[in-house]
Amino acid sequence: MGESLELVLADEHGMFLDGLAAILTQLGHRVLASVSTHAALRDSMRAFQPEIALTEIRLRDGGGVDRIGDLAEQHPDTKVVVLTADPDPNVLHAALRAGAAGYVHKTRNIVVLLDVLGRVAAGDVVIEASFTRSTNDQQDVAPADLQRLVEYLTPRELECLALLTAGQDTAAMANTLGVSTTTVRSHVQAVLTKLGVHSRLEAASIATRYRLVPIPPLEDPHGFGVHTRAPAHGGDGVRNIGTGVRGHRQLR
Amino acid sequence: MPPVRVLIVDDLVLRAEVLALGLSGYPDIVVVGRLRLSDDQLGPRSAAAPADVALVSLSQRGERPGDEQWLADLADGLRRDRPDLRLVALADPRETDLIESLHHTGVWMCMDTTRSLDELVSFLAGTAGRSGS
Repeated sequence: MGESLELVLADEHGMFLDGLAAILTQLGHRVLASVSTHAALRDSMRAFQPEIALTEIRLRDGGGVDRIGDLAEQHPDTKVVVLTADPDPNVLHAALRAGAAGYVHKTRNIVVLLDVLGRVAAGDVVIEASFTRSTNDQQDVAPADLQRLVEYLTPRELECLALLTAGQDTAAMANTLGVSTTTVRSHVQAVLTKLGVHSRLEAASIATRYRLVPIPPLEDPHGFGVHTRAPAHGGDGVRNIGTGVRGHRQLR
Repeated sequence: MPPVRVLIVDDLVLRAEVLALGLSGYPDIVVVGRLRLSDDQLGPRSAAAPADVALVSLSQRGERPGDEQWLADLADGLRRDRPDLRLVALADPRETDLIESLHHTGVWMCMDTTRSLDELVSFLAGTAGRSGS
């Protein structure tokens, strides 16, 4: 286990809250309070000043991302991590904009949650989510959603995505970027994870379809024969991304 | 008395894991498995887990089909090969329509999710597991 953390927990699901508190305590963390309302969460944060407040969006006295924003603003030394079952990806982005340092969807597992808590405590901003969209809203939601996810890519990962879109393989990308193939694979894997796709082709497909990165010119400045081409499955990228949006974000 | 064997049915992995780990700390309870509501093989998998009680989380926050027929089908699927299996639904108390509809399905009892883990265990150990055997 990593460093012991001091937390307050908030969820309206009492059994879940009790179980989570027991697990965290068994793992050596200190659960300072377990509450079910925003009012109690606010009071416990004021009283205990925990390192992390792990909270659902909606609690027994209502809820909304604005409450998260208030907590983050009033307690800048406490990292607010949203742990939610809300299926709306817009909530994720709203929570981050409101100042949440982490977001974990309840479709993830306990190991992921523990990892996120450790990373948030270390200063990262971390997202762990997996959303399923209905087929009806894929066309409308995917572009805006993807544009936001692209914001989580580092400059190097964006370069890799652009080169993937241009059709480069690992060796060519390594040459273009002046790094090892191992490093390229690492960047590419990070791109796939953050965009929630399962293959390079899928990443290139959605990047092209939704213009997530600038399309490289036909004659690339590095002289490695970059070609602009449409990925083989460019037309159905939205279906693929629609099956899941996952991401890790590490901003600081 | 032997411990009550509990099967957890929930689409939210984290909630299912936390409930399973939380319940495993009680000597009166044994968690024999976890299933997802969306599992196409719910019936066979339920039959493979020798449970006294299936704890079914119905609050999926917008992702639950939620009609009466769906609940009845779910109950039938879980008990197809284990007719003695008792279904205990965990539901948000604000979902009154859902809770009322449980009367017309094969769900045996509904428990408010705001209750504590101790209360759940007390109910499972004192009632759900015993009275059926």
